[in-house]
Amino acid sequence: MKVAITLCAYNEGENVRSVIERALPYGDVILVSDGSSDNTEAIARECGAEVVRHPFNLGQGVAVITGFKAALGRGDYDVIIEMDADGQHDPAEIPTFLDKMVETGADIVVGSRITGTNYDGAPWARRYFLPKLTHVLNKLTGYQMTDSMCGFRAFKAESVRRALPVLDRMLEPQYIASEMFIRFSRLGLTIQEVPIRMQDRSSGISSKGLFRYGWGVSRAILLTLLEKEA
Amino acid sequence: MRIANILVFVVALIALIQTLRLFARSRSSIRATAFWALVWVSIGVFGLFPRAIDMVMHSTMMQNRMFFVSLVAILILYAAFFRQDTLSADTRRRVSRLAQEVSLLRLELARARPEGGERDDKDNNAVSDQ
Repeated sequence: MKVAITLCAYNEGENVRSVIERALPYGDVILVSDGSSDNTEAIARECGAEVVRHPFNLGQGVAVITGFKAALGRGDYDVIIEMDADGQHDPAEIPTFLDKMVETGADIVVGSRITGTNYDGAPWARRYFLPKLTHVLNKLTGYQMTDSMCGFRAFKAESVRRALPVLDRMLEPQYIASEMFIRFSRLGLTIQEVPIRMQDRSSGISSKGLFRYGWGVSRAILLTLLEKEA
Repeated sequence: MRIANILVFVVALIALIQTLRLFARSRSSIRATAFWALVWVSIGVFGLFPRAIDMVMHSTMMQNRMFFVSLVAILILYAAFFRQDTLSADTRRRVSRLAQEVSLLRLELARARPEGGERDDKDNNAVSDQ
């Protein structure tokens, strides 16, 4: 099984080396630098990752889709893994995703921080809002997820190729997760979950503000539902 | 009828005419025109016949006219903000798509020329950073 690991990074120079070095044994690493102005790209190249560079910051959702397109452009990957470049996801858990995919035949395997460990240490906003948002998404999509916002996911390359035209039409790509799952459910793609262990960021701070994020996610869901089905 | 009522009606009428003129000159979409025309007609009617507000108020179980008017104003502002934000999101999306295509094109070039690919990429970065 040939695996591409896509990392989306924005000024993660301090974390990216360790993530790439730990991810490389499991597949080819494609780093999408989302307008980084530090040494993220240089370090990634030095470690053996292929780098795609956005000319300026376009948001995580666009970076994820760029990663998909970069991986599909090679044409020979079976699975595309998406994970954060900030060190919060452990690449050693990639085989768990692949095993689940083989075992269940699911199109997508998503990580769950809630069924995994170390969730009690998560910020209060995440602990409070995440289950509620996931519940809403489950109602809308028919999926049975416990964590819809986890950025550690595995996709069958073929499913991504099928979904790419609708992903390209994303209305709010900055807030990819909610919109992506609604579109996946319309395509009839299947999803399974595996528990994952969240790690603290090695350094740096998250750039997502709670209210801005909440507004963006709500609008993404609303607009996607209002949009005519593909 | 007080002067204030007539004034509100006249202002709403002028705004409505202006909205329709913008539409006639193809400077606003049919959706935006319909939205603002509805707003100005409502303001004009309520300005001319304030008792109509009381009728709507009582049908929505509200007691205070000021509260009702403020609520409607907030809803209109919210709708306008949502629409404006959606339009700007659309522009952002188009720009993002273009930037993404450029990035992927550069990657394809680098893949096609593995020896010089990285140097080209750095050159392009220098250009875009300027």
